[in-house]
Amino acid sequence: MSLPVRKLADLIPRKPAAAALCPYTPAGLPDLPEGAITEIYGPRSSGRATLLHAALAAATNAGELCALIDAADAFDPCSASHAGVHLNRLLWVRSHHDAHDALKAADLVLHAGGFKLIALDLCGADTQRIPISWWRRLRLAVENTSSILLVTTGAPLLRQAATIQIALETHRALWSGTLFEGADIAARQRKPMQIAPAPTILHARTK
Amino acid sequence: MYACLAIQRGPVDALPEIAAMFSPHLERPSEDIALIAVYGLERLFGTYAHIAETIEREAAARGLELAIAIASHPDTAMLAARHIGGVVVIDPATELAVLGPLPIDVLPASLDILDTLMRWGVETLADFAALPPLGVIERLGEEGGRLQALIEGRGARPLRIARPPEDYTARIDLDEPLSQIEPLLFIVSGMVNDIVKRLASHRLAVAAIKASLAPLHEVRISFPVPVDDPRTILKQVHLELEAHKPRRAITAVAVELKPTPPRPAQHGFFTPPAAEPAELQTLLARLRAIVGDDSAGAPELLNTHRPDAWRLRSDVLFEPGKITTAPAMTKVGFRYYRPALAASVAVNKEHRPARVEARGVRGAVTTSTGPWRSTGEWWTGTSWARDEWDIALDDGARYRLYREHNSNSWFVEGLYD
Repeated sequence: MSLPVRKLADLIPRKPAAAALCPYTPAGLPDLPEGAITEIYGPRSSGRATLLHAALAAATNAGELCALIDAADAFDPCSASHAGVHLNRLLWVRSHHDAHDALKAADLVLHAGGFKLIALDLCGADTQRIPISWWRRLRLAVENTSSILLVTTGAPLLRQAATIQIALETHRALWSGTLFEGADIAARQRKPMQIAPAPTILHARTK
Repeated sequence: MYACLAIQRGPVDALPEIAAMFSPHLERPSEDIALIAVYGLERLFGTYAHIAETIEREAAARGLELAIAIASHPDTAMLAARHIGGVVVIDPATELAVLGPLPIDVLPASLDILDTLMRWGVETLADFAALPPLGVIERLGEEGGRLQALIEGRGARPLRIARPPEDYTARIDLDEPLSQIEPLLFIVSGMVNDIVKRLASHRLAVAAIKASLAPLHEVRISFPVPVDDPRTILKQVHLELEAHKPRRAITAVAVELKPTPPRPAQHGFFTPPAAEPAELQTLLARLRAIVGDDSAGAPELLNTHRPDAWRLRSDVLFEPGKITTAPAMTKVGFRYYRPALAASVAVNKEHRPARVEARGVRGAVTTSTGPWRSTGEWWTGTSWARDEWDIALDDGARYRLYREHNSNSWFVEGLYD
């Protein structure tokens, strides 16, 4: 009687070929991959909060629990609710302008599990003294989980740690008579690299 | 056989004590009535008549006058004790002979049934028992059959045993005062483990814990969902003690757990799985240890027109999520500067902002809309009165400015982003 012969490669559990993608971004932008970090950066009024609110709205409307670690204590629950975010599915952590506390909080939330989208908002916070090892730590924490880590910053910070990078640029605003009616957002995918990437123009409105 | 003790005269408080002298199986349908099981007491006291006499004697010694009835059905015994009085022992199969002469309105029935029976001309319980059982059930339903069985002493039901209210507390006076957290937690863990075991035996979980650490310290933690794991409770106590350490050495520990029914384990079939409540509670406590007590939770908008009005809650995070439809249109986000940035604003001839200078915000105004006047809550201490402007600076950034009426000062409230 001969024993069944099995290849060594069959016995080693393989990682899935591609991470699952969640459609939490507006049409035209790449979906957010699970188990990876997505970085959105841009100058003031370029649409960072708009995209953050859109992602939180999509995830909370899917019934998921989300977390927002707000380093600059700048989150506006009213405009987020207006954008469709279910505030009772959102854990808001205010770190009062302390970027290190925000990173510690993000690490805790990632290790606790149970959150689909974890947004780390570093816009307006002092990010000069963040050691690069923090990003490797956060990448290891999110890997092999079904969570998404979304980092918003004023300038690119994460380098190799980010799987997807989206750069935003300040685009035209819509003023109608005596009203500020909205703004267009110019988004460019920086990572994975694209040959001569054309900006995607998104329309955001105040009403 | 069951005995019913109904108070005729005397203090109500003495009744459970007398009932407990004869049987641990006690039901309290009302304050002045006690039902006890007396089967098996014949070896101690003799016949049921002797048992009734002994109960009457013990009650009289405590200044209590009782009506005592013993019957094979607890409800029959209660009917006899309430409406015949004195000491009555109803042997099995003689219930109808004893209860028959009683008027029909003594039956523990609804007013509709009593009204129907009176319209039928039924005056006594014997008249009611004489009616054909099938006809009674057809016309009065199951309740009619139950009432007839009650008069005839048919059927059986177990006693609804009255339990004294449980006390889920424990207290230890320490031989030596303790000033470190670890040995203190060791003591608290033993107490919590014991109480949680007692709660589990009654199918209960924990809603809150109160630990009084004599002489001055106290720990109060409320759990948003029922907790049945002592490790979760102890972790919360540990984090709370780390955040707010006792200032003086501890000489005594008292722990009180508030019981609650356990939570159902399963939520919706098609909703995403909720976070594990125990881990979420621990996460919130850990986050609060880093960022402060009032800096982590789910935001809730307040019912006011005051700008930036919200509060943080944590209990809603533990509820399961629902799938809903997201709005199709992307909405412009806003970022606050907390606190608002004091600004120096130059205005043009038309009294519109022309140049803004604040910490981190500087430039010439290219576009502006406003002013939008907003006032409110002048009847409270949180009143506001201001003129708001939406502006764009020459670097392309868009801000919200406001001028306070009281101080005539300008502020940059936040950024459209």
